[in-house]
Amino acid sequence: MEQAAEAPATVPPAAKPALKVNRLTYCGKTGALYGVWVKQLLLTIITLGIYRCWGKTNIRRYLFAATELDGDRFEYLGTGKELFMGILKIIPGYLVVVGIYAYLNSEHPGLGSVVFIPFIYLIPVFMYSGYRYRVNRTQWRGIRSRMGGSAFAYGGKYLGGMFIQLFTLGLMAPSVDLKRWEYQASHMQFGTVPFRFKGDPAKLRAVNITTLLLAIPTLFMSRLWYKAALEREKMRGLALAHVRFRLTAKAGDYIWLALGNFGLILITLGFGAPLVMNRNMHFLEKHMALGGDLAAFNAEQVALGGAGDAEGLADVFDVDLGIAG
Amino acid sequence: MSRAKLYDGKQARPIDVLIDAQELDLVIMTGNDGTPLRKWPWNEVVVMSRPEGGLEGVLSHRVQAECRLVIDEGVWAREIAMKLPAKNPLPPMGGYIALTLGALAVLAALIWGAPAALDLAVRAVPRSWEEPVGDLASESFKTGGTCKGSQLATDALDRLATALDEDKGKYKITVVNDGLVNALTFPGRRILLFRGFIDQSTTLDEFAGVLAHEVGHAHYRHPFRGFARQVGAQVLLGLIVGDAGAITTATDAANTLLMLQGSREFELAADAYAVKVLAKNGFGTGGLATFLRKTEAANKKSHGDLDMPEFMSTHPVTDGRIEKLQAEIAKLDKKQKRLPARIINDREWNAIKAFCR
Repeated sequence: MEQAAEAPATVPPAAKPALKVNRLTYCGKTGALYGVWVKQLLLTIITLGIYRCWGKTNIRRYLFAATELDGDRFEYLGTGKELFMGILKIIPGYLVVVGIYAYLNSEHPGLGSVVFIPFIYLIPVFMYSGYRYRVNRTQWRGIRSRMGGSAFAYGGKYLGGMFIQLFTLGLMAPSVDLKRWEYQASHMQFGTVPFRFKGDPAKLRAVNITTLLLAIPTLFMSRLWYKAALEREKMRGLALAHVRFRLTAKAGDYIWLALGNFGLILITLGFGAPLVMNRNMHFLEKHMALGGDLAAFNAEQVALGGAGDAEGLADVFDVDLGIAG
Repeated sequence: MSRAKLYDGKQARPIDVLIDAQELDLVIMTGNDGTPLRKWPWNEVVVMSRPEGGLEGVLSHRVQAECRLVIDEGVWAREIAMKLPAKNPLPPMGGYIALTLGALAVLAALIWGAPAALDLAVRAVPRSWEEPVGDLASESFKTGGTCKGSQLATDALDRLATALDEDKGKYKITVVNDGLVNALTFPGRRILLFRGFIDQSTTLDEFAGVLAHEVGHAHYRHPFRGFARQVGAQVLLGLIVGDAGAITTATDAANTLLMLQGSREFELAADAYAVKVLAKNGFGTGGLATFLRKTEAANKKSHGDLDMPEFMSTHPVTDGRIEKLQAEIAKLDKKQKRLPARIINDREWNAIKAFCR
């Protein structure tokens, strides 16, 4: 065999230049992160919750600054004040919802959930604007990433997708899910360089159908395999100039991450939160890769107030729903 | 002089630079020919990140805030570190202890102070505002249908409730055609009596005892206060703990305990109130206790001897509750020996008994 390798019978095709693989490096220290976390927890209690915005920001700053790509650290540019102003704007709505919920539930246990029906539309709106907020506050090599698009339009698309899923019994899930991501990705840019996304729903068709068929006997656990495949496809189709993305996490990895995190929180009564944050970051470090020569990659700064601030409500809601928060 | 990377905030490509940490300024020069690019006085240098765990240090400038100067760990230690204010060590332990004590004090103040503050707020709400809320809330308990009752019985019930109320408020009493042995009070002096309760009341004293207890809830505005506490606790705990993951579960538990505490307190207050007003209106004060004992016995029969610890129950365990009731009665008996005439006669009582027939 070795001989064969040394003297190939046929001339190999011209070798494709090897794509340089770049990985994220997370260097966060548990002790330091605990310092940030405990301080924000105590101050949050003392200030009746007001400090939470600043505490959350400090934690993100720490996590970003401890993450490096191709020799350069990320920076989180958000501020506590921004989060606080955002919360002030939604507090009246929050009070009304909690009030109705508590009232209905105290009188008719279970009925309170009715107030959450509008959230079928609002949750994707919040998700989008929260994600957009974080993208717009992320910087690397002195260049900010940007995200525009309308959270309300995204919410509408999301709802439309839900109806399609309903009528096709989930068969269209790959197209619907990738279309949603396409909307997000096509509104993202790093400096002047736009992200592009071209997904292939056909790649997800088999895993979608198999896991749908197994959904009921496995109590929907099988869908985790589809979800993991979807996340991988979302990254596979993403590009930033010549830079490509790759996610290697399999369903088992996600399950292991989630079970571990859940166990940690449970055993520590919530005080293991920094350990969970570290685990999430190490998960990204392990499973995320960027292909392409980052030294050759360039982007120019986009002035603040440009794309992305078109919507008056932009970045108001910053809701953590993603795993890496 | 050492090498470093400068990101000028205009483009993502680094500029190779030489840095010279002089006495007063940090001088940045082009890497190939040493042409000066920037001169940052040390007091205008901003530390973005210190080098740690193999990561490089990052500096910026107060005015040229978009610039990032990335400096290798070794160079930082040799040339930069001593020019910068010392890195804040971990905050002193004393700081954390003070913060912890402060947080505990705030939590304690909330647990004991918040119900009182909310009660004050509730007092500012006119009673008439409660009425539509009470109507709405009680509606779903009437699914078994309501009993019409004779004019004699309805008048007697209304008169009795108003008489038992120290404020002489006007009540809306509905009898639900349901075997449940219970009576419920809703905001706005709305009371639901279940047929099962009327059937189980063998004497007028028992009946009046339970009704006086319900009037006590209305008198102290317990339903509305309980509602305000629940909303208050949820909003407050939500704001404090927010999306801190599993801690929310702990908050839910704390919230529930807080509510149970409130309802226990409310039940005992309504019992004490009942004893006080019953005597004034010519009823025997022991009726409520007798009725409670009777329902407890019935409950034990149907649920087995499953005793819940007192703090876990919305209604205090009857033994403890009856003891407290008897203490109230003993207190009262010292003051008042002779009962005035009852405000309900036997004919009216029989009409109430026949409400659903």
